Amino acid sequence: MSQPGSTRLLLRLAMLTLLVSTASSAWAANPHNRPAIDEIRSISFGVIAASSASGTATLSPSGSLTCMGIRCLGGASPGLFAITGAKDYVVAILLSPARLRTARGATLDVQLTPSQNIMVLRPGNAKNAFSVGGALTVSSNQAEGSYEGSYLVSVEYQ
Amino acid sequence: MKRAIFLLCAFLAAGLAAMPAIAGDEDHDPVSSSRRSDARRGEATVQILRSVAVTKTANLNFGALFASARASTVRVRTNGARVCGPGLNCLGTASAGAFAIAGIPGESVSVSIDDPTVTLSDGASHAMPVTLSVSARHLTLAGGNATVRIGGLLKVAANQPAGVYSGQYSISVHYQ
Repeated sequence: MSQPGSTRLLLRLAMLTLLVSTASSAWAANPHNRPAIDEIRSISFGVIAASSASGTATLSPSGSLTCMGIRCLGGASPGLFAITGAKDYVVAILLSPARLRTARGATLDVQLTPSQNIMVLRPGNAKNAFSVGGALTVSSNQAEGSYEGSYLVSVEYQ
Repeated sequence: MKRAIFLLCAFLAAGLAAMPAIAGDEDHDPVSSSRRSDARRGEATVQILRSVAVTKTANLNFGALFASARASTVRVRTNGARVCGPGLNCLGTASAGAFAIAGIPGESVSVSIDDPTVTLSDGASHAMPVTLSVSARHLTLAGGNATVRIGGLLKVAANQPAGVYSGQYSISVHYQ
């Protein structure tokens, strides 16, 4: 049974259209592999003993902790993030300050510092890691408690 | 039929027109050069614990002494025992100094005497030097508490003038 020429052309066009449509949908699901951030580990200043004097705890992005005027008892670790994206993207890393709070409302302010401000993404889908340190100021007779908070990590690119 | 073919061709043309832009954008978006960003929130934590508290619970007390024509010493050990030197008569009750330390359970602290040599005075220009000692320089706050005791060696001069002699000392306690 032979099909008319116009019908065969119509079927071929329909199949090709379906293929094009499928390919477009796949690209739309992962549009351009743009840089994206993932948090791998949160930053922790560990355990600090308050005193009648104020002091500061400074945690470098590499993980070294320096405490002035207060007693740091260990357990500190820097934050860790990874950027994934297409190769050769140049991204700027920006961090906002954080305000940590206890359930009772006591607060502590933290200034955060990235291990690098600018990063060129490596080829492939490698995780481009960077770490985050910070400095917090503990006031005299700072209230006891477990302080938690968050900060905004953003990457800008063109 | 021609109308259907025309519609399909138009749709196909639109689809193919979109392809070069996608195929040519292997890594970067060629459409827009404006600054764009991605953002996430990171978590930050710290545990603040109370500072160590030190409270005096007992004075270092050498008791009462009868001085003699010979210089001598009186020692009060950190356990409170008193040892009178030759030529002295020791009376009354002696005691070691004591301090209660409260802090974080399980943490270790260091203890030091700020100035281990103090001078007792009768308020009338007579003095007696004391060299202090501490029962432990490092302590673990089991249950959050510990006690440290202070002993001393008192030097008594020959014919030390009678009177009530007193002085002060201080200790420092820090988390390790």
